Amino acid sequence: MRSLKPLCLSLVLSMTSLAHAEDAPMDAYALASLVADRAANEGRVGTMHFQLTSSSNRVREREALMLHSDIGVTERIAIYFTEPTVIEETAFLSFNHSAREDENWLYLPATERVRRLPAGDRGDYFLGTDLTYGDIKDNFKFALDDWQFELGEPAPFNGQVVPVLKGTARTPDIGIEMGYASFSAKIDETSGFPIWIEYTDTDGEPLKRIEILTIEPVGDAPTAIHFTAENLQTGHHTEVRFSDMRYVPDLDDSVFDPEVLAYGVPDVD
Amino acid sequence: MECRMLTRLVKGSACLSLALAAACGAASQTLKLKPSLEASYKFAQGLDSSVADQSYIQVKPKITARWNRHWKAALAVRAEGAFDETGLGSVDTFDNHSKPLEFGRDGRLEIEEATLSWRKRSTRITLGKQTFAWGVLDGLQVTDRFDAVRRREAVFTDQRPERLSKWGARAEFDLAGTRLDIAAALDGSGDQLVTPGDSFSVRAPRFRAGLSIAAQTPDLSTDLSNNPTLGARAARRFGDSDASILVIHGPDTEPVFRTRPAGASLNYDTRTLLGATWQRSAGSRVWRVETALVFDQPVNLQSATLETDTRQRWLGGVGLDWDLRDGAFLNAQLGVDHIEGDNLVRPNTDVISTIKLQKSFSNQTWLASAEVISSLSDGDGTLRPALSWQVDDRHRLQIGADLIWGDREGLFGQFKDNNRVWVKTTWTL
Repeated sequence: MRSLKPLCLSLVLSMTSLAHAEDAPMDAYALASLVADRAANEGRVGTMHFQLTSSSNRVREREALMLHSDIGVTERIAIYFTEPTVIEETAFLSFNHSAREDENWLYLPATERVRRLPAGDRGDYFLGTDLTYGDIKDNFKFALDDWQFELGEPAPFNGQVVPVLKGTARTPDIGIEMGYASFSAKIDETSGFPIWIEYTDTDGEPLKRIEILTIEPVGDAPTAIHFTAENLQTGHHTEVRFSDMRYVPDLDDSVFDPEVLAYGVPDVD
Repeated sequence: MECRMLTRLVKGSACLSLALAAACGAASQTLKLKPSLEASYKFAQGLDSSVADQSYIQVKPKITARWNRHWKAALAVRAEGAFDETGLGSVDTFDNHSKPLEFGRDGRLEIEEATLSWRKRSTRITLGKQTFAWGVLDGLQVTDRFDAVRRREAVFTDQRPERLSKWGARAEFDLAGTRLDIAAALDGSGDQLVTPGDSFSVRAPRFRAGLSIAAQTPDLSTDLSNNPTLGARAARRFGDSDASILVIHGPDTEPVFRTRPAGASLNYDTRTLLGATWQRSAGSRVWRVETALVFDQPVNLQSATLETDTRQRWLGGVGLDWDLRDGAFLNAQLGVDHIEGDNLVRPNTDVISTIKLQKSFSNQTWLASAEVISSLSDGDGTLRPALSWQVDDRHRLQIGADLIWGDREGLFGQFKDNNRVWVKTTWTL
């Protein structure tokens, strides 16, 4: 069965590409597809280190265990905060379904209950960082259904010339939901990662810049290990670095069970 | 069943396990100890008086020990002091095994958590002093009636309800895709009541067995139940929905009054609650619904002899969480509490609404909120605006007010003399 997967994927890709052929130049869509269909591993685990810096250089730090699984039609992400005390034991779980509305849950120790969150909160900011819930879930991909793509002028990046992908939200409602009206991204064709992204807000004003500083293979898939997000309107800045990132293909389903968020950080081999 | 003996057994085994865990863990290199501390101070000034209404300090150290992937032990205590009109509440409704140590009138030390837990995949078994938070609504207790709660500041607390932990055992596990949660509390503690004479002393006759505030209150004693509280909950996900059914059998956490040869007693009679919850996300909203039926709710009747009876009680509530974008969030809830029959000391039906609007700013370092809790049946309520500033990862400052209106015999109006502004600082390590 495994050998059929690339063939099926190609068929699906070519069908969806044809479906969108009227909306965007083929090469822009192909570049967007390269990013959207970037290889993902079945499971990975790592410790996330957040450093949040305000425009007045006030620094806050967070540490969390991140578990990620991408199998079949649902991508699952669990984030268990371990530091500092004020946020310790807070846990977030997201199911990113390909065929239906996403699902999110949050466990807050103060309430002692796991709470289902509104699914349409992609544009809300994740626990004080400069990343939205959508950024966390999308993993630096641009959903093909959300954007209309076009190619920008190739641009220099770290001594190379790289292609530039631009996107505009397909509808104002989608833009409002994402919190973004458009983006411009420099793409590393080797890894399929956007290595520099600038977003505008729903009024078209420059909003955020994301830079991916380190990409490393985890299992078979390239993975962003170190990146920054800067709010261009407030000057607030978030730096995220992963440590101990490892490929865990057989993550137990229980670590993605909403009720188990209340148990605290799971011990994963 | 001799509940007190079982309580001693659970308490003893939990304490012994904690000690053993520490000893074994200390000998092993895999022990992970994690201490933490939260300290806070709250000062409130009454708007209708010139004296301080509240001066409250709380220190909560906690230590968590893990020595392999399955075992975890936690011990948390709560040291608190209150030096003004809003005191620490009565300890008469605490089971002897849970009673805080008292240091004069103004100081307490209480075990908030003492647990030993074992987990493997979706299964967890927890022994010791713990809370059992069920239900899906916020602060409206429809099915969330396993835990006893603190009532010393009525509803005017940061977190609502403030749960009291109980000695007991709990098993949570998956069975064919259904989540089962089975709990037994072997600790007869009831809701903590306010100390008579304190700011939030109850005035409404409905909470005083029908006696008005002007009537002479009989000498009260507390007659806690020896029976355990047993509960079982089954939960399952259905697409975008979560649903659960549950049953709770055990002493009510709210007392009824009975006459005694000398004075009166607070009694915690056994009742059985059957409940169900449902929640569903739909775009930027989440809908939550709860309903419960108490077959045999103990109630006081209007009588000079503090007569009691059991009646059928229906509780229901619906809630909406609405993500309004840009860090703004609305929570609106409506709850109905109906007890059948005549001659009750309380109205047959209470209808309560809560509306909370909040917005965060500056990467969630600032949070502004306003909450209105009102009784639609009594026409009284409270407005609670607040502003919170997370100064850094360790310090938080809050300022707020509790503004109360209504009839002096109403659910909220009874506290109308307690309008206050408050400030609170919290420090964590």
